[in-house]
Amino acid sequence: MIKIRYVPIPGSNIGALAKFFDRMSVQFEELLDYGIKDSFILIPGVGNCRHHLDVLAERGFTAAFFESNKLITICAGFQIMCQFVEESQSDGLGLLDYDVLKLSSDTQSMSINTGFKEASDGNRYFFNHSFGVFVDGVERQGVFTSTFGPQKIISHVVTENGLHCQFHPELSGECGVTLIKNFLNIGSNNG
Amino acid sequence: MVRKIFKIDIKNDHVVKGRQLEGVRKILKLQNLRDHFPNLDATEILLVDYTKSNFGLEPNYEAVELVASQFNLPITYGGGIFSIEQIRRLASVGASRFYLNSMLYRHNARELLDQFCAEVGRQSIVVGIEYRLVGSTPVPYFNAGRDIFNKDFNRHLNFVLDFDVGELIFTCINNDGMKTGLDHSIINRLSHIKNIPKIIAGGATDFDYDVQFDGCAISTLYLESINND
Repeated sequence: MIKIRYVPIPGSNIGALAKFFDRMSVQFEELLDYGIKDSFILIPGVGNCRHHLDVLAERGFTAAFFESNKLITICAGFQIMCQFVEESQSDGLGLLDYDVLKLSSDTQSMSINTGFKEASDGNRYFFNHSFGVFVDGVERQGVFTSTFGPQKIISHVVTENGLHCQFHPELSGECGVTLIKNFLNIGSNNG
Repeated sequence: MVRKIFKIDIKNDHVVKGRQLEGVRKILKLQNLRDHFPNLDATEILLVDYTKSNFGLEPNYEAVELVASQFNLPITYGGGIFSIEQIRRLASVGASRFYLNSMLYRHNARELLDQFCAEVGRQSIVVGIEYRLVGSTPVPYFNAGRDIFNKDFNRHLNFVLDFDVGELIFTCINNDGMKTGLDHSIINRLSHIKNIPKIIAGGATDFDYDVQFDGCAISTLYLESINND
């Protein structure tokens, strides 16, 4: 059975994630033993990046630990994997070579991106964030985008060892289920 | 695209619905919600227990858990939230966003909101502005439409905007449960708010699209079609 161990961050939406993975018949439990390598590590969303980074630091998590594991990161969990994080006014863990900046644009005064939006993989996912990663229009392997006003932002990044989502797959209906199942390589007999 | 939000009023383990936030009647058990979820392409759930703040009760954690166990959709919960501990517990049972109104009446509202935003992020904090129209003047209320904020609408709105929260939901109490249509008169009063998503609720007869709002919440029309169980 596939296992996912989550980093417990107070205030993050562990309840929704637990029910999401339970419906998928994926074992989902708190990360207690940092040495175990039998599972995916999940960093949940719903949070302020300063709070996320502080909790990780208090619990002794390092960039090296995350680099050596298969990861799923969501929203604030994704953002703190980047180089610079404006919300925390600090460096992130630096696994992803992007800067996370406050959402704003010259033509749009809205400073929050909430709701189901289409990503460049053709699916609609639930976004809820006020900081994000702006990118140019150049296509890059494994990097999927969505839009915020006239600008492109990263929706998710898929690497050999990681799925990093700006949106919430656990709140994105069937599209979220399919994305996670594909990443975990779960066949139809496992959920 | 206008967001479509299914607003579900709850009491204990039941979906309920009243009129003008009063006189609720049971519609169905929450555990059966999925079987009756309307085919209306709603993509978000707003779960509100109006009995909690009014009677100083804890949030309805059990209801959040029951609903979250049935849907992979974002759940915004409101009712009885006054502390970060309650928000943590709500998140641990399935809520992803938190709807606040009566808390704003507390003397330490600013400190609490700062604390909430610092932990779960401003995008997860939703403020409800529940108002009655007195003539053409909106008057903001809390405690499920029972108590009046000691400020006029514009002062209350400015007070809320000062918090830099993630979303505002405007509910016209006069229209709640009445199927009279949304209160479009509020739109002109809010045209200057452009940086925060605005959701309109109360009296919707359909997803009553108005491009000046970011979303519409609906409940009565669909709940009425469900037989009481």
